[in-house]
Amino acid sequence: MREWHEKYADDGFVIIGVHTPEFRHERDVQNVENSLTRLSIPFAVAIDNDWKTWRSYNNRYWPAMYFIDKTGQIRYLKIGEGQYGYSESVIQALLAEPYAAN
Amino acid sequence: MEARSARLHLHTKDTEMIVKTLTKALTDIGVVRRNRPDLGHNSPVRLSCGRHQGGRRCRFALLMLICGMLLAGCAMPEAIPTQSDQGSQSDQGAKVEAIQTRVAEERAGQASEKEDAMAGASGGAQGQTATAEESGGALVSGPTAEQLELLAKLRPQGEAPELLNEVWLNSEPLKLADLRGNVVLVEFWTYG
Repeated sequence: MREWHEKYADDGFVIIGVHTPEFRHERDVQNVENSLTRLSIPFAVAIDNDWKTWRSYNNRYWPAMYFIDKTGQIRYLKIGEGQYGYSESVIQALLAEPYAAN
Repeated sequence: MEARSARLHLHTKDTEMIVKTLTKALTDIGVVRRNRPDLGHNSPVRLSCGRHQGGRRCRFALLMLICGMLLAGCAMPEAIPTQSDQGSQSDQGAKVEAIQTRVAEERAGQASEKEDAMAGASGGAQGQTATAEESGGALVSGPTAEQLELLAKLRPQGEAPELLNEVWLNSEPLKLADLRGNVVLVEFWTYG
């Protein structure tokens, strides 16, 4: 994830981590902040302690990645770890896709 | 080789000198016994080596001592470098330095030649890269055939729901609506 951020941020790729806690201690924003420092996470992280975004996405999984194209459409959902090579090719394809601003 | 021969030469020279000195000393002793009236009859040399019955033995011991010194003298040049030895070493040091400088100069010359060659080659490579970029320019503006195939598979699954959070880390609060034109990856995760 950090690698993708470093590689594609300049090409118009934005990573947003939505931190939805599973357990009580994960609700502590300070703990999340510490983990960002510990894992050297450079991208934006939304604190979803009330599960609002989680519910609006009707998500059920950790981790779950939603790949959203330039028009705001979800194009690919990746649940769980692995298949990073394929996920990266999805990012590259979505970045290469032409976009005409309205 | 030069250093070695210089040392050997010295060796011989020193030995000769020592032999001469000792011969003189021996002669002196003899002279003292026979022809050195200036030291007088109370001279310790005369007393110790002349009057006693053990005079011969004493002389023999003295000779042995001198032989020992001679041997030690022969061994010395190896251990202690003499001034001339140091001189030859420094001469050689100077020669080595001169050779090293010459070699370094030659190497520098070669290196600069290589650098020139490299610069030429990399210049060519840069030229090639430039052409690749030019030809790839069309590819950057649009997806490759492979990517088109992939994009065709990635059918739109509906508009991504807006992000509703107010507390953010590493960023000001973001809205997907403001990120149109960007490819966005929303990842639900938990650090625990």
